[in-house]
Amino acid sequence: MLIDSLRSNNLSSLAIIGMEKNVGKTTVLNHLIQEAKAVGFTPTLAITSIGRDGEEKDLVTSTMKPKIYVYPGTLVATARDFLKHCDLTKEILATTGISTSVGEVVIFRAKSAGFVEIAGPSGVEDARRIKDLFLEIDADSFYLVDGALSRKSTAGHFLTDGAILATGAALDHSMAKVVEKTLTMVEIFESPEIEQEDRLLIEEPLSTSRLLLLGEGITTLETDLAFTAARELAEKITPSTRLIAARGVITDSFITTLMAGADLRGKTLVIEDATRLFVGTDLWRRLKRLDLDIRVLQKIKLIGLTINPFSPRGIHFDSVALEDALRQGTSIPIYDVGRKDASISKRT
Amino acid sequence: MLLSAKERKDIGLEYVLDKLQIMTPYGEKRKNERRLYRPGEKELLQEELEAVLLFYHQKESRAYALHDLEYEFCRVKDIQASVERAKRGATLDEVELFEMKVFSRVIGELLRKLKEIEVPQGFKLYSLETLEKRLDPEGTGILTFYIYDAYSEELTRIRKEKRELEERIYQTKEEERAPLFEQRAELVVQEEEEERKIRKELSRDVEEEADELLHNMDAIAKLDHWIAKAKLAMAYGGVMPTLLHESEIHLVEASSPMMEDYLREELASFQKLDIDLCPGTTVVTGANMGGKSVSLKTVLLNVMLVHLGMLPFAKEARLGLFDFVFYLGDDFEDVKAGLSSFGAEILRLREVLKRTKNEVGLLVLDEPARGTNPREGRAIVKGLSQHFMGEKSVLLLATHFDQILEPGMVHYQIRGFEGVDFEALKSQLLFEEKKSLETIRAQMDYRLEPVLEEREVPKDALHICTLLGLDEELIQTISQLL
Repeated sequence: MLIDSLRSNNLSSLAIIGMEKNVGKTTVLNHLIQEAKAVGFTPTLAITSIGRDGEEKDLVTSTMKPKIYVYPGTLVATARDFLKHCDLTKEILATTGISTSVGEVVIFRAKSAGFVEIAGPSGVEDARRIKDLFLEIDADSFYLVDGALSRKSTAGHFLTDGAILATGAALDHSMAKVVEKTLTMVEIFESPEIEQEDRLLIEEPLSTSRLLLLGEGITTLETDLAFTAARELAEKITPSTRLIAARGVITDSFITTLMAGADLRGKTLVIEDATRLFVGTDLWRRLKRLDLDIRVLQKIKLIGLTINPFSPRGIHFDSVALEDALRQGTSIPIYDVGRKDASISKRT
Repeated sequence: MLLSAKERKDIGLEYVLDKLQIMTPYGEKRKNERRLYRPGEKELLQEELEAVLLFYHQKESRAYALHDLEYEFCRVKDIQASVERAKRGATLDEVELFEMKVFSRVIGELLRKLKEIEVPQGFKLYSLETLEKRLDPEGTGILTFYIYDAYSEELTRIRKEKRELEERIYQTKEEERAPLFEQRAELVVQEEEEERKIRKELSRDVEEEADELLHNMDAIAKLDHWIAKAKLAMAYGGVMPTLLHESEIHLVEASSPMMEDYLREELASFQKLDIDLCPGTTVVTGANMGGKSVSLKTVLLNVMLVHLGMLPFAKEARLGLFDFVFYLGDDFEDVKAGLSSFGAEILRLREVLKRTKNEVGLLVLDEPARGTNPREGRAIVKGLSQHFMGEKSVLLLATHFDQILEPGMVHYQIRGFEGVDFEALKSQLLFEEKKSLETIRAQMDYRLEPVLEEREVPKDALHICTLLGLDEELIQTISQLL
């Protein structure tokens, strides 16, 4: 069961990260809540979402969005306009001052069981504040975040110590491609943490600048992670540079520009966490061949992969075949939660 | 009051207003109104200033109690729109009711804490205990809110039924839950309907207290604003001004927080300013680099602060209220609009002169007509100076032109290099060429000094040329020309 791995990994927070929309994140969330209830998982679940800017898109593809069914005691942070879609008895605990396009984020406690719709903060900083508020309300609460993997906001960023990656047919019409993309993401998540001595060297200077080089000394760059920043950075890389660190999102184009301008062989690239690296499979392989050592400042423990063989565009894969193909590439537990809990997801 | 945003920034007014530590949304609104007190509102202004002074005096003696108030301020949210909605008969939602409850509690806490503090006469907060109790029907004292079962037996019944059903759903196999969810949906509708009825009743309770709620918001706004003003006056040395009937300004050791902070960073100190202004013309002369502009801005800033109901930064301040203030600074925006600086200046003067016909103003002109030829420029300045003689408005004018003064005008001069050992300074500069500007600034005496008899405009400009090492032969030529 998924819930067991929360316990065995000693996690206090978890993000459910979708590789694409309609990969069944909500179903996974529902499934976890069910399991938690069934096994008597003791911490109070404290649920929110981050960067649910995909709401409009779902309307476009007109897919039915399953609602989340929670039990009494659960803490929920959602936008004010979404409260009317929450059909349970709500005890309002706090207004947060965090605003979204659908109103201020409000925290309530479920006084009964029922369906909730969650639209939490869009930014990482605000999600961190929500987490703090949850902990203020209940110091033992378990922070559960429904998050999309997007350039704008990422669920895992220093917010949770564990993650479940949700993937499925919505990702690509070719199953092979789905497998390839998913396994690349799994590999990124498996990137080890930075060496302690390097961390001590770079943590402080990196807190005030977005890019940093470590060689004979430390060089910092005061630019955003734009195209020109990569070029500027490449110019400053010398043979004695052994480590490159970046805060924020790293994209394909950033890396290719960097590779075009500097020799990265044998160097170390440090990113904040796995959700900050947005590179395709091909580039990821090239980086590996360059012997580039990719490290993270914070490790997010990937405790499971969930698959949804159905896509809203009508494509669907054989669930077992997809699972087998993924299993060839990783030992991380894989769950197909899509079919089992259909009845719990009320169609709206 | 005719000051543009840029001018307010230039004279250091925005700097001061930004330093006000407002804590509540209501206080923020009051601050942003920027209410200016008019000459006919002297009593109201006096009340406002006295309220600030009252907190100023308590800032130290009751520091802890004031700090306690600020803690409550942090919990204040803007619920004015909800109260007004309730007043119009609307039904509030759960979050709005939650906010009403928090607000009522905060008022209770403020009332309790205000017992430790002296408040201005007539200041009052209305207790919202009745409303708070309505929103806490089970008397738990917990500061959260939901539509409590205690509000209605019907609600209690529906919820009990729903709870039992939800338990059955949980016990039922997943594939057999669908019909139960259908049943639950019906109960949800019933529950929501009952909750709505209760919210409607509670909204009427809010409506009943609407005037008290709105009054309290206003009271919090004042309290917050007063305390912020008092704190700022503490930080930069504010003083209770004496409001005069006459259109006069008397400042002793006036200063400007913006200049003070700026100079502190440069490890220099601000030369405080004494000045007495009466209706008619006052002329300020003095060397370049002598701080004429700073003096003018400091006067203007402190006069503005009083009009805004704040304590001016001075050791002593006595002044009357003006219908308007006008400032012609060293650069203004109209120039960007395509006019020459001279043209823009004249257009603005044209407008303000119209106003002085019916109103009493403070006009501060920093080197007017500087952009035109000296012969005509001098005539313009002289004409302006004469024009205001015997007028009700106060004209404060800084100029480089000489032969402006006439009997009846007040004349101030920046002391400049008066009393400075010029040769010693010159040799000092030989060694520290790079720091020459700083050294001159340190030696310069920025004080304004009333000039009683007709005196020649000092030749400080030539001094500065010499000190900054302009070609010696050229300096010889210049001094022969003088």
